[in-house]
Amino acid sequence: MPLIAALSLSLAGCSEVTSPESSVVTQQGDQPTAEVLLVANKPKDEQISFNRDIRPILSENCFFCHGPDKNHQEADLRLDFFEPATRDLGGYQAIVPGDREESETWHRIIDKDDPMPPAKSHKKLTKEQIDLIGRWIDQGANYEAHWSYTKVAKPDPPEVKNEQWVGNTIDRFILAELEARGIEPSPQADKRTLLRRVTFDLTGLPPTPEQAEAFMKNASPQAYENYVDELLTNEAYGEHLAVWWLDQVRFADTIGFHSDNPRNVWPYRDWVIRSLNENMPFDRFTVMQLAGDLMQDEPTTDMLVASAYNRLNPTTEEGGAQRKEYQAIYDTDRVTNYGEVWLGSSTGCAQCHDHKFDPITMEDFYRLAAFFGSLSGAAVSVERGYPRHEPPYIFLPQNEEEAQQIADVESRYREMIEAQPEASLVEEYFGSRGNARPPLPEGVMPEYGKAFEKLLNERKALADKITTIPIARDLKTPRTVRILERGNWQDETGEVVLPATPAFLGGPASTQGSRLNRLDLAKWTVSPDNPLMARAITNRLWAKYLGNPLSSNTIDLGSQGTLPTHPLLLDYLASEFRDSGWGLKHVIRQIVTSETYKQSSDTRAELADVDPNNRKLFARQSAMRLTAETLRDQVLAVSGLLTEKIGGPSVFPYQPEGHWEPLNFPRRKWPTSKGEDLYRKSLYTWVQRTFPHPLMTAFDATSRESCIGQRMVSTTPLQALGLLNGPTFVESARVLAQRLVAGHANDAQRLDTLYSLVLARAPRGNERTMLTALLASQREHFTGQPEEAAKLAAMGQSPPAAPDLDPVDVAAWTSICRVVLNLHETITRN
Amino acid sequence: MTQDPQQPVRLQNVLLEREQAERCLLSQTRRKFLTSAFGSLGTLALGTMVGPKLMAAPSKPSADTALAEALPIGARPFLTHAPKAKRVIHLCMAGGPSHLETFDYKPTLEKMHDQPMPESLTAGQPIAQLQGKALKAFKPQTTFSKCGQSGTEIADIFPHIQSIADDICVIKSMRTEQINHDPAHTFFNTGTIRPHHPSIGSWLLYGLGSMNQNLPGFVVLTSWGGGQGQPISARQWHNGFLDSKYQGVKLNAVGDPVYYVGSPDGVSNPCQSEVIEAINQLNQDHAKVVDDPEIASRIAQYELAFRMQVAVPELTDFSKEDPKVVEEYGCKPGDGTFASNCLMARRLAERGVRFIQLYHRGWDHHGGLHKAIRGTAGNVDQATAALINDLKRRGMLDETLIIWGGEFGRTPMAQGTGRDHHIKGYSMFMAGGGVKPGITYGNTDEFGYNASEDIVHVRDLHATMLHQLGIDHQRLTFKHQGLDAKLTGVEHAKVIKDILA
Repeated sequence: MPLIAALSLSLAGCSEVTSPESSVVTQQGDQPTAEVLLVANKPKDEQISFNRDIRPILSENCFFCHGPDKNHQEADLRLDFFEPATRDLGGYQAIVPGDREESETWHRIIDKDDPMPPAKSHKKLTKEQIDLIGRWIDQGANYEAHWSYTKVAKPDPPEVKNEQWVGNTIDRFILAELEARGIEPSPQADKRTLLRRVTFDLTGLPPTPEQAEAFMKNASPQAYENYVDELLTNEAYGEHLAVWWLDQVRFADTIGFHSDNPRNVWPYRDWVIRSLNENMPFDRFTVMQLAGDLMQDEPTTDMLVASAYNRLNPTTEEGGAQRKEYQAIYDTDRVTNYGEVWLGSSTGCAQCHDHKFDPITMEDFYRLAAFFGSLSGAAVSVERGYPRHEPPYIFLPQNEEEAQQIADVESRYREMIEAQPEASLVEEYFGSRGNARPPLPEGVMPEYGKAFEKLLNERKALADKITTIPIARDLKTPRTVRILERGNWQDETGEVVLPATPAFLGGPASTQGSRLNRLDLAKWTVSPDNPLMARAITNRLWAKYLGNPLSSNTIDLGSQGTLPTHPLLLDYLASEFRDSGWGLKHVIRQIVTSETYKQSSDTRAELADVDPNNRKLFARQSAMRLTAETLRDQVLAVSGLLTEKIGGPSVFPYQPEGHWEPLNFPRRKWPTSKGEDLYRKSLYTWVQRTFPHPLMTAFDATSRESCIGQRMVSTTPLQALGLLNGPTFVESARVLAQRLVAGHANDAQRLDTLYSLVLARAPRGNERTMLTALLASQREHFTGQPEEAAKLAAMGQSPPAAPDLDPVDVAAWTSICRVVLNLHETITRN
Repeated sequence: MTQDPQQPVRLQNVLLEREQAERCLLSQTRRKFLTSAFGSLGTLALGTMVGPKLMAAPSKPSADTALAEALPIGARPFLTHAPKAKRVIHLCMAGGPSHLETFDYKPTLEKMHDQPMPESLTAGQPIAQLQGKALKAFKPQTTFSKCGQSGTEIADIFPHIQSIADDICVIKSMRTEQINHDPAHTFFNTGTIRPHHPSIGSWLLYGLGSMNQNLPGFVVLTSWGGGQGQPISARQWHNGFLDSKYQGVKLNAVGDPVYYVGSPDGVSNPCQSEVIEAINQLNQDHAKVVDDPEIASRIAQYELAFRMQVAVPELTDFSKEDPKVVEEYGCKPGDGTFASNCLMARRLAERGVRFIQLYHRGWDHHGGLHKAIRGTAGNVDQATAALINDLKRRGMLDETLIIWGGEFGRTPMAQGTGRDHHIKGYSMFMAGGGVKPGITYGNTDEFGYNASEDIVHVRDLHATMLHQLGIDHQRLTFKHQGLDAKLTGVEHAKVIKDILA
């Protein structure tokens, strides 16, 4: 299948290098350069593909001045599609299909003295690129629609020679490409590695000894698939996948700017966990978040809780912040996040100008903003401190008594809301800082306004005691949204726009008589007319389970993203996702039961040149350092400290004193949790946007200020310090040591149990020798330093060792546990 | 003042001494444990324990393994000329010091006190807490003197800074774009308010690397005093879309100076080093079982962590500081004051830290400005001058670029007895690092409202700073979301050549 082979070539790096990362430091590695030669060395008669070969060159080097931005088309020329590129420019054409010599573009790029792109752009075409462009023109200058904007069609799986290797359809796409290159897939990882890999990937936890034993003993050919099914029904699945989702929607426990006060949205997080565990179809999952409040006349509580998605954006309470400025910032942020999550597109550029590389115009951007522009909510909230309640909000009574407490107030609240069409605006007015209040419609004050204010205060008093969550609610009269030239919120001359989906995707738009709302946006988002959602989501899932995405930028599938390494595989996954009724579990199950997924992660010499970082061929698995969350959860789990409780308010595990010192309005102290809340899973750790927990930051967890489709993975000495000295890690080692010392009479058994708990295997000979020697040395040390032993053996809030345990033993074993918990093997999922 | 030729030698000695101390500590502790476990290996150095296979593994070339001094012009596309400065110390006066009470004396405001401001200046301009209020001129609340041979005009609330007037370059024509504290800091540090962009220090580490393997290359310290302390987000020293290794590290006055740098309670150094040795030895053995080039990085990471456990206490041990020097700064070392942080800044500079950022929170004088600004000035004046003098004596000022100033200035208009935020014109000063000493650059209009002569946008300041470090700001880029992202962004930014020596 030479077609597939060719399609799989990545072209991201076909342009002259301008970024130091690609020239000097390969840590990012997004710009494979070896491929240039491969493409260029192909036979001269090979058909050039616009999407594969030409678009990346033009996008990188030409579109900035000759692309979609209608206000920046130098020489009145655009090269991003056929008609304008080939029109008559007064006796000549930029491109004459079939004839490079007649094409002005050709002469401009080969000009010796002043070649395009111009020197001031710091961009330069390589010989190979120039050759490609020439041949493309000679072959007829065929343009193609951008790959990610075309409808998702289910591709026929390619034929392969090695049928035996194929586990499911995914493998055909991977194997066909490997066979075309004469590369073998990697052997399957050993059973224990698979066990650890898939358990971490699906539940975020290491396998328990029971899980390990059952799986290792099960010799059935179905053992692995059955184990996967078991994991997919484990409630830890939803908790773990929730982190992936919460990174995208930028879920946090605080408002994000300046005072960075708390925001009570944990019930939304719990709804996400529940929905993922129930395998809620992703279309419904999407519609509930974007427009749960609009789904029916009387939305369910879950619909309203889900609609809190619209209230997750960073907001401010800073004195002196202007209403219109922040309203514009929030609209922008919401469009940006929506675009990145559901369209896999970076729309943000179009805030100030038409997108330089993609057909997203400023008009598209502000029309999308208009969907969110009608949301009620203070631009600059008056609220400070905690507990807090950002109108509009609902109560979530946790028991019958609380339900009764709110019943009367809520019924009066409903009456007041129904009595005045602009009630939401009035509520917003009272929830805003004095100088940032919206103008009220006439006739509201004083009677209605005063009465409503009194009622709102009654509600607020109750909300101090009973859980609330901010929700989405549209204003009766939508805010005016204008196109803001250069994003300038003070410019009131721009055209007023109505809500519409991006024009280039051909979705619905408002008309003067009928205004679309968020529900229309949501329905279009999940419709087959939007080809981007299915591709964006499955691309991110692939990255989660294989280490790298198929298209290199998980939040931009546009021109400046890259053609997928396996375009047909991505479309296969996207169509499976859609055709399964939007089942996340279905796609995930397909991925983790593929032979591709099950390969060993060992690096291979024969891949060192073609695919050193496993970004192109997936001829092996990727070894991945555990995430910030799973690292901590693992030590809690193996020590037995982990509290297995799902949901509830966020918690405050150990954090260095003074980390919150720079916070103000009000000043705050981290209220370290007590008892079981100290040992909750890390996804429940309080996310303070301006000061996230330092260990989470050290291990690349994000501050949840913007959509993250795939976290970066760094290696820094601060990580080693955290794992070595962080209280949770040391305490877990200490508690684990107690368990070992109390549970077994001899050191050999203790070591066996330790390895079985942490690594699901027995220690090897060299490990036994080494750790036995270390144990002796540490015992000797602590025997001579009994105070040190006592301190270490009592580290943390969990109960100290039983009096019959020798602190020297516990301390020495704590050292052994610290070693094993810090091992590369322990903190890596292979 | 002339340079003391002994200084560079002294610095080298310090570095050498520390290295020897580390080696000694490592080898002592290692020997005991290794002798028992693997008798014959006991005398090997840690580095050689990493077998040839690992050493040969394709480790990723990383920017921070190279010393910038070793990078010739052209080694990277953005290194276009010889650098004047090796490092930057940014003294961030957080909250927004009033330019009108510090470096920009406006007699017109005396005359116009309590009179309405000309609408031609204020109409349609962004404004913060004075929204919808009457806009009246407010006379300067401090007196000024012409100082030094240069005659630089500096407020009398800064007697010490006045004494170094001939060493600094005052810029009176700054402009920024954000009028609220949080976004204004973000804009100053990252050049944009779009989230997830790298801060200045991260860009420098990415471009130039660190000059000290054992300490973070980008260090932040905070202090507070003299007025309302505006919150400062950790976003201000975040690496954004660059690798996390370029992130700024906040050095704390309370608890561990660097988070988790101290061994756990009950774990002494010998005990800790045995643990680390064992981790690395087992990791090395593991490399024989699986092929994972990351293992080499992991081993290096733990070695580095241990060296940091040694280097940080040495860094924060002020006991060898000359008491006279300490007195000059006017602090009790390690007390968390701006003065102590300035002393630490010099120590960090000596140890090769690339970007040192001190925030002093207390400049947000919306009210009671007359008294409050004297308090805040008193917190920073002496130590600012002491730091510059100290660096100069050690021959380090020439290679250190000092930037002093806030995220914005303050209105010529009164807000009660104070001033509101103002972005159209304000002052900063620079010193060292190849900047012309003893000059004043640019000016505002007679009201101190708009920067009117030789306007310096924050972007221009960024471009100038990068220029002094040998970097062409247009070429220091990173591919992000398909764009070549830059600190100076997409708008035009210029190097302010007129202020360069």
